Amino acid sequence: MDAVLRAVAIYLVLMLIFRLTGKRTIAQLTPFDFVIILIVGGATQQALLGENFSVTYAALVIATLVLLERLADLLSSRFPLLKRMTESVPVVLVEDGRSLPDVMKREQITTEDVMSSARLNQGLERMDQIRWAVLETSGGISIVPR
Amino acid sequence: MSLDIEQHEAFQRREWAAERVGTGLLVLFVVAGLLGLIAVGPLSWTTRSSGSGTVGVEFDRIAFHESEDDLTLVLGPGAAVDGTVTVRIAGTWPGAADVQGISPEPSEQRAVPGGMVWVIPVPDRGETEVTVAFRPQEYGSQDARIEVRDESVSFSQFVLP
Repeated sequence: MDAVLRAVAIYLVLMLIFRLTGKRTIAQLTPFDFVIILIVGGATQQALLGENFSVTYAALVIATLVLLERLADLLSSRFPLLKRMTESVPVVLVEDGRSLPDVMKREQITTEDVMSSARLNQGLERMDQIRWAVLETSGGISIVPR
Repeated sequence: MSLDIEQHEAFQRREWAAERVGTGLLVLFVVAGLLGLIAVGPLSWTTRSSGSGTVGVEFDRIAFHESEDDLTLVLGPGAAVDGTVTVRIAGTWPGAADVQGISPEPSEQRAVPGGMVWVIPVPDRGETEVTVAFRPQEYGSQDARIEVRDESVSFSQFVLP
């Protein structure tokens, strides 16, 4: 019981932290972000396993976390409100070649972030070649060219 | 012009079926963990006692290899002779558990053929609880028989990897 409850608690804490810090937290994975992820993993390990380092206990923690993910997916597919609460919603950043500064400021995204995605994904060169740029719930920026 | 994609509907259907079975098994595994059938939980902790209550033991049915655990010996008022209780533990458990500490500390500990003996000082009256901290060293079912004076109690603990 201890293993399952620990896994549920850590899952909820991590979900809350990453939801409150915005969509771009992990999507822009710089080397330093990668280090932060490793530190988060190390910090949660102790809370998840306590003093019990057995294979069975670890398997139980992993099974609980995987099932929580499956359950979250299942509930999100059935309840749109829950999906919005746990995964957020897509946000339009650029409309017909015009960036929306207020939205970009709130999401802490620069024009350079949009253009970087436009170059990487569509090979575009200028903002006026973009029909839509959308900040997806995954944190990535999708580009629809004109 | 068709889409250049490697589809295999029969395989995909088998995979979906396997996923459903796998998810069901995972749910059972986690529920068993919640109940205490494969981890510490409501059904894992149990008690055994000798007929007149001279000696009893509270323990986890399930323990984990090399992980800290403890059990409690409950010594009734009739267990003491001259302020001490002589506890003899026999079976596979003594050889399969690395005892980390006993509280209250025994005044004497010795290995005997097939087990170990602890001489524990106790108050003259009332019940005494003795906590034994240990780390399981062997896998599988480990049995113990605890003898105090002419009474005994047996228990079995299953050690998971």
